[in-house]
Amino acid sequence: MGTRIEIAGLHKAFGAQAVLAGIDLTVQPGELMALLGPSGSGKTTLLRMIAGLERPDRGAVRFDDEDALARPPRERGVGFVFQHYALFRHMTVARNIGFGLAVRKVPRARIAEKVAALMKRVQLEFLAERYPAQLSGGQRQRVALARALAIEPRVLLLDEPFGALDAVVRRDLRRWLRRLHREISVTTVFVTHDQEEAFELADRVVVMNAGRICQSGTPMQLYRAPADQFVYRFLGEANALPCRIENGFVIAEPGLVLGRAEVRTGSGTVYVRPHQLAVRPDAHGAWRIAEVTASGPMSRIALARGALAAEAVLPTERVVALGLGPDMAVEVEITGGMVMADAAAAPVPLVPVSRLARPHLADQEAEQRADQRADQG
Amino acid sequence: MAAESSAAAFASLRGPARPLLIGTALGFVALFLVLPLGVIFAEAFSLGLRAYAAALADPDVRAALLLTIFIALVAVPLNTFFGVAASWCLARFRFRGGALIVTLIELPFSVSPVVAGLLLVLLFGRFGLLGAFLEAHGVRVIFAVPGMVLATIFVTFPFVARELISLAQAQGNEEEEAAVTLGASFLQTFLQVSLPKLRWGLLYGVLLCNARAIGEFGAVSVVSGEVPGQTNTLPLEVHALYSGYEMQAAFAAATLLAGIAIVTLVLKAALESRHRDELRATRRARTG
Amino acid sequence: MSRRLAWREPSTLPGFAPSLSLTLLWLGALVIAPLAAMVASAAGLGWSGFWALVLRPRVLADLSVSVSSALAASAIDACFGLIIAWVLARYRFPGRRLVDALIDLPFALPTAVAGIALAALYAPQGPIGAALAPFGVAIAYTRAGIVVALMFVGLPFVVRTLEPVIEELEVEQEEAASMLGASDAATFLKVILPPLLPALLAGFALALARGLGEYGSVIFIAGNKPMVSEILPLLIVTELEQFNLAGATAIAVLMLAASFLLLIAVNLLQAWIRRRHGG
Repeated sequence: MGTRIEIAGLHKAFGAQAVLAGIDLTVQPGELMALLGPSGSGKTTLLRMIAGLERPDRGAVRFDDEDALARPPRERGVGFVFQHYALFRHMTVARNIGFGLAVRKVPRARIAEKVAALMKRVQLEFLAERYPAQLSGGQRQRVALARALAIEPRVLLLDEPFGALDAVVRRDLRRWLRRLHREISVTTVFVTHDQEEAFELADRVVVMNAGRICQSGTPMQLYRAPADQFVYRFLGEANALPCRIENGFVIAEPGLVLGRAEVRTGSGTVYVRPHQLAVRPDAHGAWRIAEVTASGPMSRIALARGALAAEAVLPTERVVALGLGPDMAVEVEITGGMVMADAAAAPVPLVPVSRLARPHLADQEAEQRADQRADQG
Repeated sequence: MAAESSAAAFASLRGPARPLLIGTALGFVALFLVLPLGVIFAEAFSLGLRAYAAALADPDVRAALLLTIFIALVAVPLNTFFGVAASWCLARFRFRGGALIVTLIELPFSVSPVVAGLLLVLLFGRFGLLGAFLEAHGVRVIFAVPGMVLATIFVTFPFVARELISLAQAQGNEEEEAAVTLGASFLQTFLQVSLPKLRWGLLYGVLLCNARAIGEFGAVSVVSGEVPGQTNTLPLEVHALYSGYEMQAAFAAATLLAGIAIVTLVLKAALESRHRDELRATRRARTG
Repeated sequence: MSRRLAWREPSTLPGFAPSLSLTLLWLGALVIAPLAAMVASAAGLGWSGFWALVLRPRVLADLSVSVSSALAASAIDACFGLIIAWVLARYRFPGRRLVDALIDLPFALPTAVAGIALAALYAPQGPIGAALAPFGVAIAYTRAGIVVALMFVGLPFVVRTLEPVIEELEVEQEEAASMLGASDAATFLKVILPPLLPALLAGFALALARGLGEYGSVIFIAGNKPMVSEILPLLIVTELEQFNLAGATAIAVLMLAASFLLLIAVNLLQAWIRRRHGG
């Protein structure tokens, strides 16, 4: 069941407000794609357009070279899972799931068969005669999914599927969806604002902002090489340190050299992720710990140096082992980061000082660490 | 209600104020609502049971009752049908002029029933806009039953429409959208998904519509001409009897209407307590 | 670039055309056509003709009777309606649900039935009329009777408009006021009443609008004496009975205009209050 989706030049405006400002995208057959972005980025509108629940002002949507826009939603063969499930509240679970088959006049015996098979697949066998109001959030979600799958859609669309669920249920359902997709491999697109979710589930992630696509690629590609500042900041926390670039050297304000970068002379900002700051006690260190906050397995260290402020994240065990505490003098080593010159569009990797000083060793170490962190997402 | 336990626990207007307030409220209700209801039954039976039965057996009263029921049986289903249509196009779609349509639908609520009757006279009466046309075809609307049906329809059609529009709007379109993506046609979506959702609101609206249709007085009186036995509904008959100083008979007929009103109140309360969530949108200010 | 119709969002749900046409058909026949007939009729009177009919002494006197009675009744309803709504929303006592259901009685009871019941109650021979007679207070067949009838009809509007708003009041605010030392009266005036004002005003306005046009409940208990205790709707009926269509139409237009103005005035007032008290 591999349908390829091609989207070209999609535009939509509500009055003066542009919701989609030119979307070009191809979803490969059988791919699991995430549309990731903040609210207002247009991702849900794009999803609904693929389903036919919204119409673009101009542009094209094709399923396998067939013009999808020419067909109304009921003929597109798209399975849609709504954010709040939209289960038919006056029908039992079994009737909900079988609805798409019933309207296609499939014989009742056949419907019963298919519904039973689907309920088994989503692990809800014993809830056939219940009503949606009697189910938990996670159960409702699975019913919504089963209902969409019952019509054997060529494309499966999910709108913030796990947004309304609590953290534990969310984690379980994510894993379960991933497994399910591997089994049925139907082209799937889902919308989320949760970067972690997108990275865990998707083959490819498309980051959207203000109606445009900022970047599309595998999670690793996005993390390693963000196309612009927005993508970088959206994908995780970042410390922002103002800097000057002179002859390729990146210098933070109080005369601290951070490293080198392929950027022209000028001013800019260095972005460093919290785990790219290595902290160790040093009586002569120029940095000072402002506060240590333990939050489970990882701890946050608020650091200050003159006018500069940054936050590092370290495993709590390490914090305890090093005996880090407030008002302690420490040395901070930057192990990676990105430089965003004021005049540039895309961030450029920072080659930190530590790597410059001991090139070959630092290379290996740094690459190892970077790989680890990228895998953690 | 969240306010319940907190209010009971907290001293908001507790102390001497509380029993005083409750007493005042109950006293007012007793005086202005309970007494009038009571006097209807007291007067109806003031001359004994036999006189009561005789008054109800009167042919004019019988005819009036039948006419009232007939008018209700015509007006309520028609208003329900169009109310459902209105709720579909206003709740599921957004378009310019939607607000205007809602205002027009609510118009009968802000118009005096007498003015409503007058409007129909100006349209269908002998000297009205369509008067000449109707005369030429021998159709009698004003001072005849058709006019009374129209007057009743005019005054009662907002009930169902209003109820359904706000309920449908509150329920949202998602289930209908889901049905459409699953391949349902308009009729399938409407009958299997939308209508079941609306059923309690529909029942509620029909209940109110029916109560008003049976009880309407001002508008119907203007267009009817009050010919006893022919163009009198039960409220009009009550009026006629009272004006003719047949008090006991008037109140006897009134007990029928009061009985219907009480049944309406009971059903209304039952619907509100059992299906509060499905009528939720309509708990905002309702008008008669 | 395809141009979409600017007047509506292209729909993905079916059934727009049939439902809209049915609705417009119904509205056209029932609301727009009669209104058009009235406008045509009124226009036929001519500007000066219209004012001549409206400014007749009897019309003005009846207008004043209707307006003053409706104002008085709605004001009394507002006060007692607030108390009743408060009691129903906040207190528990035996029979509360019965009382709550009874509030809708004026909605459910036919106006003519209410009319004769009130007339019987307050007539000189009736229970209340007889009780008040020794004090020289006559209610039936006077303006007071009109006020009583309009009070009956208008009460549910006030109570039903206030109840949901009272239910949504945050009790914490009253608790906070009490902790800060406010007395019951101060708490009521400063914390409870302000958020209720828009709803109170709305209920008052709804009762007033209904009271201006009320007919069936009033004509039995009012004296119906022209210029003294005659309400405007009754005058319309009288004019119709005398085949004075023009006169009736002019008065009807006057009443519609009054309702319209009332609606606007109340909306403005409510908006002002909301702004003052920050919604």
